[in-house]
Amino acid sequence: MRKKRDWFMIGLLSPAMIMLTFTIVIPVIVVVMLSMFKYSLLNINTIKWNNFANYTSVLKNSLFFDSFLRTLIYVGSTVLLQFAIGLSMALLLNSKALNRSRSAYRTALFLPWTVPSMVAAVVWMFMYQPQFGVVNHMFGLKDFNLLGSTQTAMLSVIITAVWKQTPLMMIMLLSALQTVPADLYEAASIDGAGSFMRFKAITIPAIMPVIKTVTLSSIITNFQMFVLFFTMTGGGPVRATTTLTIYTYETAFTGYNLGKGSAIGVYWLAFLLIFSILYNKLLSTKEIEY
Amino acid sequence: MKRRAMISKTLTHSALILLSLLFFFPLYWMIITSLKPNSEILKLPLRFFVTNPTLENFTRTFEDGLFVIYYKNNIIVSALTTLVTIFLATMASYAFSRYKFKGSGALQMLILSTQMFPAVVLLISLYTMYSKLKLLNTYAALILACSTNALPMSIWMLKSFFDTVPSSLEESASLDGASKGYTLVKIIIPLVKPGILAVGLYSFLLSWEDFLWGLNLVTKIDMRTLASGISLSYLGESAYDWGKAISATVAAALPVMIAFIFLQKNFIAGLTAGAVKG
Amino acid sequence: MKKILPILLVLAAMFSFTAFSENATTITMSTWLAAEDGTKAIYQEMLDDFMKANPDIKVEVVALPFNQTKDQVLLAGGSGEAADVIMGNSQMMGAFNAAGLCATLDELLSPELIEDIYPGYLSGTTYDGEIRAVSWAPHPIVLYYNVELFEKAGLDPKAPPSTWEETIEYARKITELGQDENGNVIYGLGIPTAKVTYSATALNGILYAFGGRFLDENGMPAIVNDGNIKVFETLKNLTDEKILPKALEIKDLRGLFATGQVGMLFDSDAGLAAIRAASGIGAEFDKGIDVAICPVGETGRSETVYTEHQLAVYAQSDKKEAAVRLVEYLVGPEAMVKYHDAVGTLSARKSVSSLPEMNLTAFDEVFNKQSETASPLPAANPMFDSAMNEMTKAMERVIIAGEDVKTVLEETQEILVSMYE
Repeated sequence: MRKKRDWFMIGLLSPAMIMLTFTIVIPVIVVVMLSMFKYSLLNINTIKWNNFANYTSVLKNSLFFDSFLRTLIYVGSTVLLQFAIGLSMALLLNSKALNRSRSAYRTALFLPWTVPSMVAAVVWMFMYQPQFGVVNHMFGLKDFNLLGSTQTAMLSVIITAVWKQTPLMMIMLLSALQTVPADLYEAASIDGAGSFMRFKAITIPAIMPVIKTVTLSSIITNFQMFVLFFTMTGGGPVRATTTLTIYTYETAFTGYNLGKGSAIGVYWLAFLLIFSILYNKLLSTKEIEY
Repeated sequence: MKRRAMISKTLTHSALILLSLLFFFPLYWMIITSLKPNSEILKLPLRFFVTNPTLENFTRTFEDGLFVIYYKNNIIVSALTTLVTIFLATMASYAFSRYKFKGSGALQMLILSTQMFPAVVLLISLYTMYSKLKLLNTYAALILACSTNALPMSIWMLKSFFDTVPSSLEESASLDGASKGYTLVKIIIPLVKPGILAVGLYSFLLSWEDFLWGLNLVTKIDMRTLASGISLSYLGESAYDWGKAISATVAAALPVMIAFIFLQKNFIAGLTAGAVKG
Repeated sequence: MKKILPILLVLAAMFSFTAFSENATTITMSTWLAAEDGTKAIYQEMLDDFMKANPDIKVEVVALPFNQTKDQVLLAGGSGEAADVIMGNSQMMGAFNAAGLCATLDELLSPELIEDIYPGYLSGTTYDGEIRAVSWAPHPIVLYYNVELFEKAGLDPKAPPSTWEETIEYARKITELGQDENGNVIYGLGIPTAKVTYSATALNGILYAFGGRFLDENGMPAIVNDGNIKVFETLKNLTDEKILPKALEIKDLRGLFATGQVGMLFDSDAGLAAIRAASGIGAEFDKGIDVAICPVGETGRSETVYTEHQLAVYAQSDKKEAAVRLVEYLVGPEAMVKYHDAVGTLSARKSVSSLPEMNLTAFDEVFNKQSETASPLPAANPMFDSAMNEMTKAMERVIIAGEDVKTVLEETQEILVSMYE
């Protein structure tokens, strides 16, 4: 009886496991192997052991660390802004002052999320155009090139990301807010708690699990952000928007150096290993709260 | 008291109107730009309303038939990705929900953390692997890659739905002599329909977004999907033909936008079902 | 009986056709011409003509998108599966040669053909002293200018600038027009300085004009020299003076030129189609502009570079003879006149580019005249594209970030040398 039961379970699990083995486990092993060899797209038939030269050459200059830092800046500011704006919008939409107009606001605010990121990139590139772009015109920037300046390029991409992604954050937080029982607030009002107190003592703890989930998934998405950078700036000007993704892509594919690209990937995976331990911890505390 | 309520009502409305304008404006700008000729787009003055709309840009975008092909490819890839993801995630998450075996928790965590693996890094090896297996330029390559992206989160989401179904259902079904497979398909799955809907929506939209795989695992023009097609065909080798590029983005964005407007309730329920449970 | 005869005839015809096609050699050709709207039709027409004239050869097309051509040819070539005839541009050919994909053509091509190619173009297809490809469609960079803006600025549109000093002076005058009635800023000059590798690729011609260079005699990067320093400083000053729009790539500049916001633009004949499209009025736009050969600089001649399409034969091909026949046909007068007629393509051959059919318009004459002094890109090294990427970043550091020219060039030089080693 017990054995039969196991077979059913194995049958349920194996299709997913086989696919993930083929698409993640093996590729990761291959990347780790590639990272130790001289392997170039210019000469795909000779693969030579090169004594960890890929690893040392990654660390030789500051490009890797700079890209890493830029990635953190991008992820940090995008997620923080999204959360702040998304939560404010959710609170506004949850306000009792709204009746029938709620769904109209919600539609207008949510629409940006329905467009693919590629579309967001193209639309904002067009709006940032220095000579005839609407952003320059509205803010009186004359022909200042927002995406073409080292000071503003990153900010301009962040704004695009925030515009496109905040609505999802908003809708998640809003539905979390709607699950907070109203009698909790009433009880607190009777106890004389002010609105900020109520927000801090009731609202935030009640929606905390959702906050954790949505910010973490936003961190994961943005850590890997490729389409906005590739389309809008290509990592430039100079290297102002070269994040880890762009740096890896550039090394492996534009520079043909698959070996070195893999070495960057291995460093990156090592970092993720550490990060995922923290991530798992956060998730397990979440499960306790449930 | 009443005055305070009035003030707060006015403030809420004005804040929301301002935010709505800010968030909606780029879409408005995109749509009216697509209706202007290039000679007007590439030059000041900016016109905030279209005086004489033209469909010229759309005609130019659609005339060679490529855009329709990109669309078709993307629908095929996204639809099949959705099916594959639902199929695999349902089975796996049911197993995780019902069978307590050694290492189950660790395995789930491992699967969930794979979604953090940088796709660009995987691309380095997938690119060479797929080219050796002759998988470049196939739907299979894109579907495999997109399903891999969607699967971890889908398993996690669906498992929490299965967890809410009491296991006494299976026990009584088993007493009635129903097989395990029959019980799962006929009794349990109908109970987690909202979860399956949520996973379907999630994986569809995730693959609809895809750019990296479409850009790199496809090298034939008639196999391109929307995002890579827009990037490679309409952002131009030689000039920014903004009229064409913007009309292509409008055509790419409009269907999902319209679907959202009409199916808003189901859409939002599907999106939030995984993370927020009442 | 009467009914049977036609059937028999058809059968006989079919039989002879299959027998005939079994004898025909099938060769393949990989190209992006078959993948792009502008060239799809004319390319197929040239192939059909070739197959009609050479019934013993059948050509199959491998259509590759431009952006992915390099990777795909390298991947296919590495596993012995590249097409018999490989098309690429100068930058790609460097990589293809490094991977050993191109056959040596010295013996395979007819001596008359080799003799007929402009020396500048022939040197662009020579690697390690051997001819590894044939120039097909060279695109020399020339100077486009807007007639109306010239007139408005009090300049004679019949007398375009002939030296670099004049070019800058004219550009300044045009910039002084300020803004048009709708607030569009007018720039005197358009030179791409940012974002993509093409910006640095096109810069090579200007480096030559100022007495600078990218490579030394040994083919190694040597970018710290007076000429280059002068070019970078000039570009920086022109940008600060707002004569040159800041941080734009050629794709942006063509749009601005097409809408009368840039007075003069350095661009190749290949840019004309894009300019026309962006103008919204098509070929009609040609009436408002003119072209001139590039201004003379320190060297006393009209220095410029060209990008081009080249045709190579796959080193592992076992049908080299048929492949060479296709190559020779495609660069020959019959195909070139058709190709030119359809999209304005130039020829790299003396005898062909002097044909009256190739010099129908005033623009054609200027392009062909520029061919005489155009230099190839220093693109023999497979890392050329990556090097140009670094050079674009160097331009951005000077022009956008305002860093010191000499420091930037020295630091870039170090990166380039380690890249080429």
